[in-house]
Amino acid sequence: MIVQLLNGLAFGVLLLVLSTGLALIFGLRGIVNFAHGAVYMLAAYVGFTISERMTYWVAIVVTPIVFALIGVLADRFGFRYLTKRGELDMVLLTFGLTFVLTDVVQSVWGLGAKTVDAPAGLQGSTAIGGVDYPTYRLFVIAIGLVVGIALMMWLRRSTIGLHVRASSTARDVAAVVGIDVDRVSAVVVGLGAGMAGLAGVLAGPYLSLSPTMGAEILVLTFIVVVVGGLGSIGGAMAAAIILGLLSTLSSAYSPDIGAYVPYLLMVVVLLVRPRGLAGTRSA
Amino acid sequence: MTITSDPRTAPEKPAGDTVRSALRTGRTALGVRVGTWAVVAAAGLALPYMVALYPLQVATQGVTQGILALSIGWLLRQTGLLSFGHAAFYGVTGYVVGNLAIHTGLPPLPALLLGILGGTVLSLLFALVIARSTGIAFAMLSLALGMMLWVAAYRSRALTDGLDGMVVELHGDFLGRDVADYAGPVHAWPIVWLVLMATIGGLWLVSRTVFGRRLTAIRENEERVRFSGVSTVLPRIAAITISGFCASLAGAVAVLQKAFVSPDDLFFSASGLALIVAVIGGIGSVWGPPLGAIAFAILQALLAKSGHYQAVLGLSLMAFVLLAPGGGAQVVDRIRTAVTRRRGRSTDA
Repeated sequence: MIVQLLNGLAFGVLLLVLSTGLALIFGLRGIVNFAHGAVYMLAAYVGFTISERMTYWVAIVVTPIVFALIGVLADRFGFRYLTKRGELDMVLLTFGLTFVLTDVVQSVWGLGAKTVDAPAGLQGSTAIGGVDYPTYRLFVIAIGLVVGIALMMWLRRSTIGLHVRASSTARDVAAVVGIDVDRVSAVVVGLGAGMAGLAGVLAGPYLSLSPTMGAEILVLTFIVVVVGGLGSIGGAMAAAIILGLLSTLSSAYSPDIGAYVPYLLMVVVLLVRPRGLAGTRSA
Repeated sequence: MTITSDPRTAPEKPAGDTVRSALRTGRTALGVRVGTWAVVAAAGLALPYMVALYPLQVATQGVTQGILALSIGWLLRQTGLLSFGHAAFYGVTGYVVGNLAIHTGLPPLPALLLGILGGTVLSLLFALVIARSTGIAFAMLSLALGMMLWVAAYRSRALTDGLDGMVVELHGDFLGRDVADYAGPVHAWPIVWLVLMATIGGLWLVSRTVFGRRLTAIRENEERVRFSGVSTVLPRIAAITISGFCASLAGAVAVLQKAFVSPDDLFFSASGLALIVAVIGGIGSVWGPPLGAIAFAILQALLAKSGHYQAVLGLSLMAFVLLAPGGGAQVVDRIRTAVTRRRGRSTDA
């Protein structure tokens, strides 16, 4: 039982890191990034190559930073000029990017599944609560929780966090009171891309890499964001952990039911509470 | 600029595309449109006598994809709903036909019709769950429901043979021919082509009805339509079901040619591909999505060796969204407008 709980938690924090990035970008730019899964996949493969050439520790530090920089540049030279476009245009645009990134991954790394070895210190298992549990997954849980808590603190306590929340609630009003909304957006898009990069590298030794990994997790991320409530960071965090636990526990009980649990959760939430757990907008 | 009191003679304002295209519908005579449609339908039937086998094969695939693209493109244009789940209706139709063929031995025609019914009923169920949402939420939810069907397709091995895919063994006569003949493009072409033309005509007619105009009104301003006392959810459910029916038609036509269906047919990239070609072709016109699909089939055949068609497709989608959001149809339209304007100017002089 404790093993299943930890498994659920590990998968949950992975979803948390991905879906909060998605929710942040949505809050600031009004963009649902359909390429989020593809970015995560690309990061996983980049992490794989860096781990092979150098070490995993370089990969987990460098990859998120590089992805965050790319995110800032994409916002500064791309999204900033597209704010007047409709949201569906942005969906199509990021969806086109998904196809391009998938093609890149398939051409560079091939179609076969790949695995990354956990770094030296994190191999094997650790005794926890009377059972042996893979050390690497404990590491994933720890990193995920630290990132989640740090993000929450940053949003609630820091000045720029206040600016992020203000711009996300009312972009025009925030601009009127003197917040540089474009700069805040660049920071947030960079952060979101960096978190997708982190999630990709974290997933490497935990899940196996394949060119469909992006699409599969993208769907779960969307479910998390809808269940949590569009535009709510806290809701997305809670929904990510709930979904991770529910889907892992139900899969342990019966794999046949487990595969459908995320979808059932989504349908039930939509029927009972269309705004999601903590959303202000109707889904 | 002179201000005229009569609105009919008022100079054309640079209004949004939708208003202008709505006005244009009235100007082109109905007879011309029906005539064009009939000529194209008849001319298309002659294709097998004009091209070699391989191009015909490519065209058949393109047109099949075109029916799916049209179903998605029409839904997007008419209701503003962006669906990533239409491949589910397309694929489920194939699976229903396959199961009927294996377990009941039904002849091809009833099996295909029941398959279409299955896909349509599924789209109705989808619609009942998600028709309340619009915009981004609808796009995300249709993707999630579509992927749920993909999970179901590869997990229920008893019904679908899992990831290996299912061979659909139809036996007997279909429209006066052995059903196996339709595996070749020469016999499949007339059916595929006529189904596409019927779908184009049917959807165009639906768009012209009061129901079609009401869908457009809901797309433009849902709140106002609700205030005027008209339900906005029921028409959306109907529109999703109509479009799901067309996607099922595409699925039936595809399974007739390929006699094979696999979970790949339901994966979100299958829906996404159809959506991309619809947008590239241009959703403003019922001709746009099929033309986009045919162009894509040709492109894919040309790029078959390099294998980079995904990147080319993704980049062209991004380019079209950025530069010509109305797709190929809009590019044609701009050229036509430019030509008419020049001609108008020369007659004035």
